[in-house]
Amino acid sequence: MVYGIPLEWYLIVAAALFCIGGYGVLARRSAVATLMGVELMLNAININLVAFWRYLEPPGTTGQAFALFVYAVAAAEAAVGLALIIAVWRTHNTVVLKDLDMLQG
Amino acid sequence: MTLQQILFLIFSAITLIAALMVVTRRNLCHAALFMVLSFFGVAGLYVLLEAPFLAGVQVFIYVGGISTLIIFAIVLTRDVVDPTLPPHNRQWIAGALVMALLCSVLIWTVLGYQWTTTTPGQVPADSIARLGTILVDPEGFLLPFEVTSVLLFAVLIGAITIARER
Amino acid sequence: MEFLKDLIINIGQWFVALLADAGLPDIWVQVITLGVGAFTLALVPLATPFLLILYERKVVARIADRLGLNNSAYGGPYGLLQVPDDAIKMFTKEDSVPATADRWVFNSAPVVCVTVAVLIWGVIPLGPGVIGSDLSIGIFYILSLGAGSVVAVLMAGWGSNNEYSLAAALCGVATLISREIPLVLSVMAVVMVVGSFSMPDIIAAQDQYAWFLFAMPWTALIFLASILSEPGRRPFETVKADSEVVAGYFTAYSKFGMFYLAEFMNQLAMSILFATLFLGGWRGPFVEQIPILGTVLWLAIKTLFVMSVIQLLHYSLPRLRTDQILAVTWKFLTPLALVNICVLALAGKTLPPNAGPWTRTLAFLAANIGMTLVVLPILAARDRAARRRQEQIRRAAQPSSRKHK
Repeated sequence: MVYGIPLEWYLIVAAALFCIGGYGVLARRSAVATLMGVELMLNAININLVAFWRYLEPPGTTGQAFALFVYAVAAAEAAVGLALIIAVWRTHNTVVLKDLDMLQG
Repeated sequence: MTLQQILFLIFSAITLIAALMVVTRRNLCHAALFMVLSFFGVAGLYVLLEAPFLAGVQVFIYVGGISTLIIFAIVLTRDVVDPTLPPHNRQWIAGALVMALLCSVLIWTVLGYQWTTTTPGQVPADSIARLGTILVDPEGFLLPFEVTSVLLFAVLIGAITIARER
Repeated sequence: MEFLKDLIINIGQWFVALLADAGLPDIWVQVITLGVGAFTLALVPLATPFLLILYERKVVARIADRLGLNNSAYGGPYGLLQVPDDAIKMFTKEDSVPATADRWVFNSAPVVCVTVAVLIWGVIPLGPGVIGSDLSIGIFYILSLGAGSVVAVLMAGWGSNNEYSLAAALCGVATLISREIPLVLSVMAVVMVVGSFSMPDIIAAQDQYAWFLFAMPWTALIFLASILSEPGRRPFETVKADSEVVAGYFTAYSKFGMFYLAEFMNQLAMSILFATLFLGGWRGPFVEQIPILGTVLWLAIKTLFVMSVIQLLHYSLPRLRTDQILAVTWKFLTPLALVNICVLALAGKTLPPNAGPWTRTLAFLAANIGMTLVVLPILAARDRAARRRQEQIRRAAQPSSRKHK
């Protein structure tokens, strides 16, 4: 326990955040909203990484370093994802995922 | 109840309630602003976990970078989504059920496992310096660090190429 | 006299002793002291604008060759009461919200704006031992708070639900983000040389060199150029370009006092930040003997100096267009800041570890001069080539445009 907060509390918050984000990815119509869900899921993962670092090996750095890599990948994913959304919006004038089914043939 | 426990409850309540708003709000711009709030809550959790650098990075990258990008995208595409339609698609009940199931399984697993963390040690005072060193240490994370920079470079070029007007 | 020498610390200790004598438990003494301390610290940026706005209006009057605020019916002697008058007018104005506005977003934007501007003050060292909280991430905390003001601008622009506000907010955010990169890179150079994010450490490190303004002038220049757009100072002011985009992102606000206050607080905070990072903060002669001098004399003088420079720039330079600002920050400041970091790293590595302050300063200065000689001609040549290309495009386009007429 750190400051009287058990590790489980953090893990439960992270699990809940992950599932809320997952619901956003599964259930939202707009591509941008789906992307926001993904960002929430990545945040949940980061909470887990940092909590495990703090509770299991505070003198080490692995947990924090992993969290930093997650940040880099999250930023990369947001940039490319939003660029794709803008490109799709230009060509098809929609960002609703259901309407983007040209590949179905 | 210690002060830190109360703070933990406040921060996690902010994070989770704001996250719920993100996935349920019809107005996407509100959703994005609630996402900013949620990120601030997560930053507060990092402060409680004694990782101030990560809290700073959280605010810097997520609020300053990613949220701004998302709000830009929303503003640029705002006339496209019909505001009278429901904010979710047809599979939202199934999605909610699956995620509720996953959440309960995760919580059940977390509570069922015996974590061996009765007395975690102190965070060393030079934690940030250590993090900086390990990232450029060949024995540490030098290779992933360089790969990440290549990834970011590729993303920089890729995003411009995809999004530019032709 | 002894009490006055270290006034702020002594008042703090006296206050703690007072509470402890009153028989309060330790935890409450701590909570109350922290609360009162934070409140007092927040009052500093909220109250000083009243004097500094007067100063700024005198400066702009001198530049425009007129007297400025002066004896008047409402202004009082020397215009001293003009700023409080304006404040009262601002806060008693009718508060109107546009009918189509997004009420919650619209009303919370100014609050976010001012909160961010106040929060910066938590880590700025105001004197020896006088600091809200010596965070281990000190300067990085300030940098990440910049993200909050970006969000506030977007909230104000979006919440107003009006094309001018939104367009201005998008322009403003584009500027704020583009300047963030040279800002972070120049701070990174300082942090790299000091080896710590903590603000007191940065001040202490300037004993081993000269002031960083002299040890690394390019870093200081890049930093100065990139802090200008936060409080909306020319030449990097498009956050609120009154003449082009009405009043910028707060066009629709009837009470824009909060935004003005935040802008002014940001200007003050950025001046103090420059004084701390590059001018040695509260350090100066006699501070060892009389610590209060550091706050009321040296830091105040340095901050006023930096602020005057910012104001002179603001009132004598024309405004750049948004695309010009983006071009300057992305194509000039960013590469320069990157080269600057590499050059300083090399200079720092080649120095022997036991070099004295003068050797270090001279080595860094030499590195900076070398950088000037190599990098500036390259960037200038690139810029000339780009301008020539644009000129060609313009010439090629001209005949056709004449035909249309």
